[in-house]
Amino acid sequence: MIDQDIAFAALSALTIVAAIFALEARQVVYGAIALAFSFLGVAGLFIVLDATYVALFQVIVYIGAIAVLILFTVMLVTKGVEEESEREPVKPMGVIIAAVIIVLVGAVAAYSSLVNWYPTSSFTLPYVVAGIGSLMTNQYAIPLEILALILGASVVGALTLAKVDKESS
Amino acid sequence: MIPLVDYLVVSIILFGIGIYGLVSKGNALRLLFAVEIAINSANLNLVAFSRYLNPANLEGQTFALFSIAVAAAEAAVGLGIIMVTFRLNKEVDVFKLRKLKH
Repeated sequence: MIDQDIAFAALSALTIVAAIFALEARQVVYGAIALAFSFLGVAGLFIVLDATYVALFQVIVYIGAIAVLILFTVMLVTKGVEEESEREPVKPMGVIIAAVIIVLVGAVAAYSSLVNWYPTSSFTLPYVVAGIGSLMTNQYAIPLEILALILGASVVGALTLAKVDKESS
Repeated sequence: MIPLVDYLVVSIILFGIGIYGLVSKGNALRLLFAVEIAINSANLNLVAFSRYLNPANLEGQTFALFSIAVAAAEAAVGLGIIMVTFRLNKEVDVFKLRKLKH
């Protein structure tokens, strides 16, 4: 299907360009907005991969919660230091390490048998939400409970960190 | 039809961008951006392999959901730490925050 190819190319280009812009934008606020677009591109790739529920979750959690939280934090944190923060020079060390990782792992993937791995052309999409729910509540019930503990602990931790101590300040 | 390796290449490039940000950036917020990008590349890998190995098996998508939830918890705590650091030091550049070194 040609539509799928076009969608894949456009979404991957959006994701990668937005990710680079998120790290290289002159102001961190623009970087945060570009990061939200990168998350959106990944959600689109999930839809191309027939994982609509994960795409929904990605939009809700990443764009709706994390990106907005990051945006608020950026606006709170960079208030005073905005003027003197100029563009950081590109350090060659990071580029070298990233290029080595991309070339090495990419070469391994490109020369493996994964190149000839195409999706099974016709399949009936299962009831995804029901299937995931049944997996989460039966086979992965204990990880789900531990995940609930992690989320609760992180909320308590974030609240404790953000609490302003009247005596110390 | 898109071969699996295309998704893997996109995922590797995203991971490389994340590593580049982690190595070369000093702003703590940008370090958090880089971590989020790397986590996204891992999620993409999970979902792509889940789709291409056996589409009727939803375990890859379930693990991607778990990973997204853990990333949300990590982002909340990380942003809290950045807020506290900024309140105490008026600075978010990690290269200027080395108190124990000197």
